[in-house]
Amino acid sequence: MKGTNLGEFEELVLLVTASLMEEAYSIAIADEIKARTNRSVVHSVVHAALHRLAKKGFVTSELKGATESRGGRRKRIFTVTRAGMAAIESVRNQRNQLWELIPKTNHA
Amino acid sequence: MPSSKQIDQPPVWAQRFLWWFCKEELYEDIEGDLYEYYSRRLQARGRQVANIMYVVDVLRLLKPYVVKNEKLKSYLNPIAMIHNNFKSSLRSVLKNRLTTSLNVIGLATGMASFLLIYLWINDELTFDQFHEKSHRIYRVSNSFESSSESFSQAPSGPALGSQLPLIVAQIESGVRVGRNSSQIQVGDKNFFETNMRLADSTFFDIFDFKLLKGNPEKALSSTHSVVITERIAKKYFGEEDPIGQQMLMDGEHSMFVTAVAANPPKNSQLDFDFIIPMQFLRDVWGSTNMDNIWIGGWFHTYLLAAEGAKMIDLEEKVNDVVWEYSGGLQDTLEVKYSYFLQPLEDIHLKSQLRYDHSNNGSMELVYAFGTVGLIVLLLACINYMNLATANSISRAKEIGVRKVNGAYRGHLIWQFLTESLLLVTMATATALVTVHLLLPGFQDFTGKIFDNYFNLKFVILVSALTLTVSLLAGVYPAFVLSSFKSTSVLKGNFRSSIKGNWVRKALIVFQFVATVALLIFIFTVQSQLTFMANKDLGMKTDEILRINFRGLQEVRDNFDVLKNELLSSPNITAVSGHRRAYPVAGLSNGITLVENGDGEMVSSSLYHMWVDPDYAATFDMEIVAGRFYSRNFPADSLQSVVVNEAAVRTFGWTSVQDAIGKRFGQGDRQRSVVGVVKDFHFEGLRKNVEALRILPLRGARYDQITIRANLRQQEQVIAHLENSWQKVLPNVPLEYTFMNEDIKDQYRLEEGFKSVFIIFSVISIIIACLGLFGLATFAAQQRVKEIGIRKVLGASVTTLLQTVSRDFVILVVIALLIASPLAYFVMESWLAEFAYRIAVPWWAFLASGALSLVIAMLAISYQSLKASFGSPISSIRDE
Repeated sequence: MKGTNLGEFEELVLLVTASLMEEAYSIAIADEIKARTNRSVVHSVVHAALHRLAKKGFVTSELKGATESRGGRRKRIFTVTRAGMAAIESVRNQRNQLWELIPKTNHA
Repeated sequence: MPSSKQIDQPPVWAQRFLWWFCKEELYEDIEGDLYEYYSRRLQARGRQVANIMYVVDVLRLLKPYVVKNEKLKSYLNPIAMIHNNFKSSLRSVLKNRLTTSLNVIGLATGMASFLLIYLWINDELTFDQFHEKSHRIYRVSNSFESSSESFSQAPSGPALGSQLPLIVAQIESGVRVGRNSSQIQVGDKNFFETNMRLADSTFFDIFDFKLLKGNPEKALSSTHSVVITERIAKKYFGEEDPIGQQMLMDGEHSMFVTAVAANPPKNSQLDFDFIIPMQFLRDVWGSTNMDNIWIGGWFHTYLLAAEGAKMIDLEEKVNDVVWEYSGGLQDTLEVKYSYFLQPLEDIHLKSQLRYDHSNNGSMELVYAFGTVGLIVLLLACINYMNLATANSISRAKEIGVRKVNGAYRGHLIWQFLTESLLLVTMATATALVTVHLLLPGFQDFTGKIFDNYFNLKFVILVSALTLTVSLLAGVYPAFVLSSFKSTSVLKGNFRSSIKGNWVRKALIVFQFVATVALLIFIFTVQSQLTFMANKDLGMKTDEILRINFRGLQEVRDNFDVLKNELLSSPNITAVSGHRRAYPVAGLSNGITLVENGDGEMVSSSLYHMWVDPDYAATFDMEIVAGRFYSRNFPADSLQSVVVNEAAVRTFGWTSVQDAIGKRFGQGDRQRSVVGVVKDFHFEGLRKNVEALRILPLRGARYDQITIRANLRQQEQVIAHLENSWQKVLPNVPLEYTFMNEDIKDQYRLEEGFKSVFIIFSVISIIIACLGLFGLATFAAQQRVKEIGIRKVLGASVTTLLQTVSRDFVILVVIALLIASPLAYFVMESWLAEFAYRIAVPWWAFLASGALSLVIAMLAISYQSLKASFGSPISSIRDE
């Protein structure tokens, strides 16, 4: 099994979810990714990534906030769990350590 | 659950589909998400885009974690299985080499035939479609009616083509096209050219024949201009520039080349090598004004209709105008011409009028070819079905194991379809190579050129064909094989037998019905051809040589010298000069007054010819009453006429004797009948012999010479002919044909039919035999123990052979019973087109049945013999 490793796209989704706070549902996440990275993302892909993250225990979700623009349907709002926060932080730390190893002279 | 259609709602069926497959706990927010996207897109990009994107989004959600239905889930990730299917297909294809090669050969043969037939049909169907204005071009043809006969003919009066565009507003332009052949001289080059056209200067405006050099508007504007094709330019002028060069026509007219046309496409009714301006005829005709002649059959007349003009309206207008100018004349002659239009693109396949284009095809032939192509393809598919299902026993365990491991039936169906796709693709590749190799021969056989056939259309056809055939051939075996119960096949009590499967039997019967029917066709067509070849035509044809000099004055002037020179050989017994009187492939006709049985003078159109007194003797025609023309009766040339027996019947005269003295024509042109000649066939045997008047030729206005010679000494005869010709007419090219060959030429279509039947029955027999051979192999394998036990118990090889073969023989007999009435009706309707015909020969049925039985026995005997001769010990021992 993949275990609890984070894929590149999963990491992106997790970061965006964390940054969006209360507003983190699939469409908002897709929009945000598009705005930040200029990557065109399809709904089902984001949905699948969120599903995987939930399975790994990095996010939890809750249905709320039915609005007219959604035909009266509720949104599934995602929240990053403690384990999820730990996962992105550990990725960040790994990256930072790796950055430290690059000799400074190389990028002048 | 989504319901009821509302405005600005996503497609309801897509919503319902989502609701059907989506897990309940995921449904609400997914639907909400999609709805939100939908409303956004609705505003930004409109309803249609939004609807399509919604469906795409729904389909994208077909993922295992969303789908609740377990079975559906198993089809969602096909990539791994495609790979696996392909691998196991390849293995089974390589393992069963015999079946594979039988299948590939069968399918490739079928597909190659189909593709060749497609090329032919495509060519036939695209005749004259390359003209940009073709949908607006019509030919005016007419139906003639008089008290004694009626017929339809392609050419019309010369006035129509030049006057109708001036009178009728919806007709933009018109062109008259006539045929011509002439002697052409350039320097020391001297040939008879037969592919010449006379045409109005509008020719290049209405039709899209490309000019390589010269101005299309002026190419035909002066009387002595001539347009030649590229190949003719090369023939006469080599690399020189032909423009402005002189060509001497018929030894008297100087023509100047004004333009060079690209060689016309083969798929046109207006193939040409030379075009001479219509105005040129003024030189020949002198004072006669062509534009006043409205009726009769002179030139093919094409009209270019204005955009949006309706054919029915035009037809009415054309009839009105012609009647206005010629109604009085038609009344006087007691005849009636009615005109009809034929769309240019329809003429090649749908027009078989009198004096029509000689290269016209027929829609029936296109249908016949098309049917044959489809049947051969179907036979090949059936072959695959048979072999694949018969092969099932060797696949049964594999299927059982797959099912036990969780494969649904659908998975197995996909697997077997992959296998048929693999085999069919191999067959397609083989077929393409075959087509490429056979193409030169096929071009010779059909007289067509298939340049650049490998175009986009062809590639699409081949791909579609591959998919269709793999589906058609693969679906049935896929369903049969996937239906096996895993419990029974794995326990080993599974048997697939020849007896058990009626579908397979029906398929074999179908194959043999096609084979037997095609064989009956061949025998019947051959019998009719033999009958026509041996039929007494009322004249002796096997000793006749015909010289066609097309009325060249130089030949006419020297006719008597040439005749004496020719007759100096003991091998040559008679020489006759005549005009429009070669009795092969039809004659021209004219209108005259004839005295009928009641003594009244009635207006009639009947065939005519002009001959010298030696004509009847040269062709060995029998005079049944009175006499033929003779040099002892100098008054013949003005006062006499000879008719055939058909005229006696047509005009209601009581007997051939009664015919003598009957009057033709009126005033000082009146003639009376002096003799009746026995009916001879001056047209092919499709048509009845019709009334004919044989007129005496005044002066030497011959256009052809016929020689009666002892052709067993053919070489001497030809040598003598060539010497005499060279001596008397050194400047005229000699062109001669043998009458028997000319007669045979009339039946090209029938010969073509025969060759097609022969080729395709051979192909269908090959395919059917491949199938039978394969089936016999499996039958023998399955019954190997039974045969061993029978042998131990004392059965002889003969008995065993009977046991194994009986099943197949029964099938062939059933096929014979079905095919016979079918073939009888088809052949009966084909023969109905001949005025002189045979009955469908009874022996054709016996012969076809016997032949297919023998072939079937040969196909199965190898396996049956092998099974019967094998040692019983080796077959019974293992269990």
